[in-house]
Amino acid sequence: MTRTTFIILACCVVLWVFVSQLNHYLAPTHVSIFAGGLLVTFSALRMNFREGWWSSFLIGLLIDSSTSVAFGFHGLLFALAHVGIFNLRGRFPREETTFGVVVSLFANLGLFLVITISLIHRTPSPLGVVPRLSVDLLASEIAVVLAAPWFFALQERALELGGVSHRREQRGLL
Amino acid sequence: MLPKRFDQAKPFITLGIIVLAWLIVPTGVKRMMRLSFFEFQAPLDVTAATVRDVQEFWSLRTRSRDELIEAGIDLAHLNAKYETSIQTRAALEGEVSRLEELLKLPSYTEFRSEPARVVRRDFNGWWQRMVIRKGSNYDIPEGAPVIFVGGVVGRVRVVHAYTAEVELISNPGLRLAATIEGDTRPLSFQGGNNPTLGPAEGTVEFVPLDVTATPSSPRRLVTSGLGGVFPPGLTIGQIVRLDPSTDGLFKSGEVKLDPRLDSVSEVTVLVPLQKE
Repeated sequence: MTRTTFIILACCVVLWVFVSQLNHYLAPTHVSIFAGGLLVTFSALRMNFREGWWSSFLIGLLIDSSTSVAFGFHGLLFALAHVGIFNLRGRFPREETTFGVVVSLFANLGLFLVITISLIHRTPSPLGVVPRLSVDLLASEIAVVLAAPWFFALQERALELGGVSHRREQRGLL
Repeated sequence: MLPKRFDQAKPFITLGIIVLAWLIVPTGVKRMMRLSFFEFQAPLDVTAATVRDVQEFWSLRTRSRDELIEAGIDLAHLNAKYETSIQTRAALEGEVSRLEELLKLPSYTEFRSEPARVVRRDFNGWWQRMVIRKGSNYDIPEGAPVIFVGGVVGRVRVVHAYTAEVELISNPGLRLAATIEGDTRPLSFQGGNNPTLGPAEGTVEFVPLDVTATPSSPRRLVTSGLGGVFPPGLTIGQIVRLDPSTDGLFKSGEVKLDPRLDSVSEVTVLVPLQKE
């Protein structure tokens, strides 16, 4: 774990707090936002493996600490998503924001489905919960599209302020 | 140098090793880590809740003096009503104690009421929970019942230093023993699916065949007092539909929970009193 890991982790915590507050206000409407895909995308696309992996894993553990799932569930899931994206990133224009947004959408969709499949057994009628989850997924994907460019810029700027030039790092200059 | 194929698979192998390592980490260590992570982020939630309270305070400051006087008069009326209720309650409690002694019945658990502000609501399709701003600093125990003006909110799942997590009755994983008001036969209540833009729901099982309920004539579902967590008679919701179950021995149906549960901002934790 390096300074880069903690800078990215701090940005992820900011996003997570925003999403938590949004969900607090949305609670009376029974709509909930999930932005897990957005938390792992930047670090998986632009950071080196170890630093990005740690930030994904730690933000997952932070989410685990305040949810009703086994501790490590989100942590390992985010780590898996990170590994998957990292392995494919060489074939795509990973520095492009538009590509980042698309990856966030797919990562968010994948994580949402995996969590749903893992927890669906808890509901008394699994089919009955599908409309609710579909609305949540749609709202989450819209939120991810809206927030992704800002969040990528936030992480980029935070790294710059922290004295880490990941643009140069990506080109092998450091 | 490693073959190219192995090099590509290296991140997955690393992840596999970490997953295996995670599985063998002792539960105690994981629990400690969970608590540490929670306490690390708890101030963020509490700060956000405090900011909301300050916003509310300043928005109330914009109200006119006339409105405040009117609210004060309403409050005085309510206080007078509650004074009468307190006297009636004291008389009834005396009567219950007298009967318990006379009939040699075990007495009900007594509770201390601990009001608490809601820090965060987390109502998604997978779980329904909230965080309240009181924890072990107010001797809140795990499993304590939580109520509000509309009835049962849920029960305390985890207690932290300054906050506690409450599992809501609308949580699909929560089950509790219940009865229909005026009936003593126990039923099983479970949190259900919570549809978008609709009130929270639950399901009820093992309802005797002679009981009926429809949306036009719903039946009030209350806690049974069995299990020792919730005191009897607290409102859970309204049974609005009952259908025969597949085995034909009982009925099962749908329970509508109080719509105010979704926007509750103040709850009361019932802390069981230790008997001397």
